[in-house]
Amino acid sequence: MKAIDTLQKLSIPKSLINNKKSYNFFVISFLLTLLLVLIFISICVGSSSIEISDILKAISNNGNLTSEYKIINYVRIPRTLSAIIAGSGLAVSGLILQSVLNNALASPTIIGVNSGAGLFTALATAFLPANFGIMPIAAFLGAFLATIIVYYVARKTGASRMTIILAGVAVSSLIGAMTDTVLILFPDTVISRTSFIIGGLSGVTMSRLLVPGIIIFGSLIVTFIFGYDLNVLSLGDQTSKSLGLNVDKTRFLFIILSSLLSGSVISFAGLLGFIGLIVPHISRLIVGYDNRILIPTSVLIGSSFALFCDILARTLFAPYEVPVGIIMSFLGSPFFIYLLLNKKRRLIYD
Amino acid sequence: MISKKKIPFLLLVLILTLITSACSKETNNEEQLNVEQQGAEENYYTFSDALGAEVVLENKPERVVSLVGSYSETWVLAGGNVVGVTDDVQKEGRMEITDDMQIVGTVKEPSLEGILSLNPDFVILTPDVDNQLKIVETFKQLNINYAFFKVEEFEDYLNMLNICTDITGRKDLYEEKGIKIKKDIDDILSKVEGAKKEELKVLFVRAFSSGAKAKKDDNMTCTMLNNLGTVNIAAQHPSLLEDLSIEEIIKEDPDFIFVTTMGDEQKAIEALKNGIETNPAWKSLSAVENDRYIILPKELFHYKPNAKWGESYRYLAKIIYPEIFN
Amino acid sequence: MIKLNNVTSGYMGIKIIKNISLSFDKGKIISIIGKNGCGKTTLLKTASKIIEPYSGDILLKGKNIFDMTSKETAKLISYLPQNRDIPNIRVYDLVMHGRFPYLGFPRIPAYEDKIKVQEALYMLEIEKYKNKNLRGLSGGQRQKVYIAMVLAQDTDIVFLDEPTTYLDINHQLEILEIVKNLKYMGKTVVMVIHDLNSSLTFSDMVCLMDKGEIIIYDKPQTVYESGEIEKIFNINCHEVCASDKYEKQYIFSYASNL
Repeated sequence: MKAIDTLQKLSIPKSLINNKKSYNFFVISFLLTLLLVLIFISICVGSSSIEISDILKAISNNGNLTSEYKIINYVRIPRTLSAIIAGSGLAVSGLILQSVLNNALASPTIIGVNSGAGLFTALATAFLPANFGIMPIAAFLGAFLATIIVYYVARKTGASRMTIILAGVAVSSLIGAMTDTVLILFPDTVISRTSFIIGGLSGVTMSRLLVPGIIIFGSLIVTFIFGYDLNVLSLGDQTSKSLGLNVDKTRFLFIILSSLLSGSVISFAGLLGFIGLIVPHISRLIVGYDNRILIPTSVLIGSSFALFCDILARTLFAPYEVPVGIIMSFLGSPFFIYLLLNKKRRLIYD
Repeated sequence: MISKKKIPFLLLVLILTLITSACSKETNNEEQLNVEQQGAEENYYTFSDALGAEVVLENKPERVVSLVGSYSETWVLAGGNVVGVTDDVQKEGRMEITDDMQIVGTVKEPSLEGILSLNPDFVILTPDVDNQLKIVETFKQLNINYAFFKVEEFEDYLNMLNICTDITGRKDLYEEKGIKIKKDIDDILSKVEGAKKEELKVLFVRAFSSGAKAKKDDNMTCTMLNNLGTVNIAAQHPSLLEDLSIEEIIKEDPDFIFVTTMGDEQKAIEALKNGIETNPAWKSLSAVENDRYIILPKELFHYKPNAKWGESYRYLAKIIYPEIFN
Repeated sequence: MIKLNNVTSGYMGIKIIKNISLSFDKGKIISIIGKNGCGKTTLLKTASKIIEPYSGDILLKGKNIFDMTSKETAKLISYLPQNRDIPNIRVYDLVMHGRFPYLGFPRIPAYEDKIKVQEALYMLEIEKYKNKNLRGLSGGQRQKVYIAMVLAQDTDIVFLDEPTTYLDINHQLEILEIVKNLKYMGKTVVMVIHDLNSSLTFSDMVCLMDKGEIIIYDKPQTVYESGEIEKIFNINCHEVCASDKYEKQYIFSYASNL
């Protein structure tokens, strides 16, 4: 494993690497520390400079409603939290799909969440223009319903891994065409959609995060609990059936979980790309294929990546903000191309 | 040694703590802010904004942030000061950025942190940008007053100026920058009404670097052209709204063709030259032959002219009815 | 032990096997042979609950297997498909998956599960590979790992779909010896096999199928003497005995249509 070679170069004791349990523990601790450092940076850094002492005052509820206090509690902390929630939600959503569909290029887009959210938000903008509060609900509903449709279309032809992907492509195209129709009939909706499509975390409030946060949190727990079943599922339909796994039900459950995760993220962050595709790959490179360790690893890596991108988004060109989705694409794409170019080597001994 | 299974749970506990502490702080603040508010007995000013919401200003706003360039100008014209503006203020050449002002981002992506660092007590926004619709949620929680305005036509500008001068108390400026302009415009229009002979045909085009489209009613320049008694050929040929086609234009052979550019002016003009102007029939249009194919200045016909709206009318009137206005 | 009554089964509405009734007795090795497309795999998959029949019942120790939960069935019946993915997994973990039907909710292997896995690894002589990745093994070694998984699953009946196909000759014979060991452990082994000689020499019962029906189901000697193999496959079959030390073998030769 490439990661092992790198680690050996860093003269980390071999005993640590060879014992899987302690290796995993080491990885998780390291990633957790990384995340905590990023959280710290995220709260301390922004377009306006705030002294550390003021930051501590703000966090400890000093009650003085200074602008620093407001910025820390109403801008930086909510954004930090939203980045963590979005990053973990998308990363695990992608991980689930790549396992369930046995396809390393799977991402939440495949099951239609993006197109579904796109259609429903376009409809919401067209018919209820000033009602901004309805957008998150529309996004989530659209994402979720699209997945149900994709799954049922696939089910008619056996709900195998290939048919789910094909159904996802077909349904997404159809939904995309419907969305384009809405945009043509109601041209004003185009303008208010770009920030949604690019994806961003600006303006997120704690109240906006509450419901999606709970859904994501709950889904992550359920996914972790059934992580072993996901391992069994990847042995192939017939083998896992023979081992007593209810393949249809398990696959359906996981697709629903994936849709809940990414639908919830879309509802407050728009269509953020790449995390669902890339982070599972990175996790696999580091800790292997066992979903029970892959899930927490992906949560940590996804959160860190999202947080890192958000920090850059807020500070690179202050006071101008770059939408987070753009930073993610810029950082994620080259890495993804690198992964693809190296895929041949990795196929056998991943 | 903490087993690896427990680590994720620790992380979850950490996140949970973050969430609950932040949430509880929010509710604490809201209570605090509400208590402060109950102290004030009589409100300074109340009005309805563009979204129909009631805006209640307890005191005269001193620290105003405006998230649209033309609105910043309107507020300043009304006698107010802005502490925070968006970058289009510079791009549209509305005013100089003084030391008292700070740029808080763009119209499409205003920076919440930038706005809050200025400690504003009133924020002016537009409902046309969804990031601005999003951002007010935080203002609500922090009890920062805000109002949405939508300015498409002169009447909208006048209304906004009225409200702004009510707030600043400078009704003299409402006279000078509002009523007087209206009188100017009414003057021009009545002259046109009285003296014009026939209805002239016009075409109004908005050009940008990748194409050009004709515009119809939902555009302030078209409104001006309509009020000046001309006929917009795009009304009879709605396909022009999507793409300019020389056949349609030839059919009508408008007396005037007006153009404004979006984005880079040079590139847009280039695009026109390389687009519809390459058609040989273009030169045969009477507007082109008689030098009535005119590129209009952005400050008067693309950006909202605000107090210069009278000048815009006059500019057009001089071109269309030279016999009346010279 | 497992009894099929009038079972008709197939895929997507097409009936591949029709009105099959037979039983597989405890502690026997049963080979299913026949031409491609005759329904061998369908029979295997139906009997092991991988696919559901259109009509008929399948009774295991008197109980209908379709009335049992998938976990219950998995403790009694195991199935090894012909086309196996080569997942990215360690040998030990794959064999441990065989214990899945026995794992309770937190899916943590108990002491007994670990013992069974060790036993399986020893029995198949792959203990030294236990930390290796499946993708780094040869075809024969991989097959042994899969059989170890099935062994760890500790079922009374084992269904194997072409366990020796694509393997080198030494591995083929090794697998067949392992199959014999499974029988000595008291298990019933039902396998679809292409190698007619192996089917006649290693099995207790041979089931010859053609066009979705059973032509003959009997002891190898009887099946050979019936001449049905020659008829169905259009070949000549001869019994030979190399010497007194070795068992009878069967050789086949081309039969022209004259």
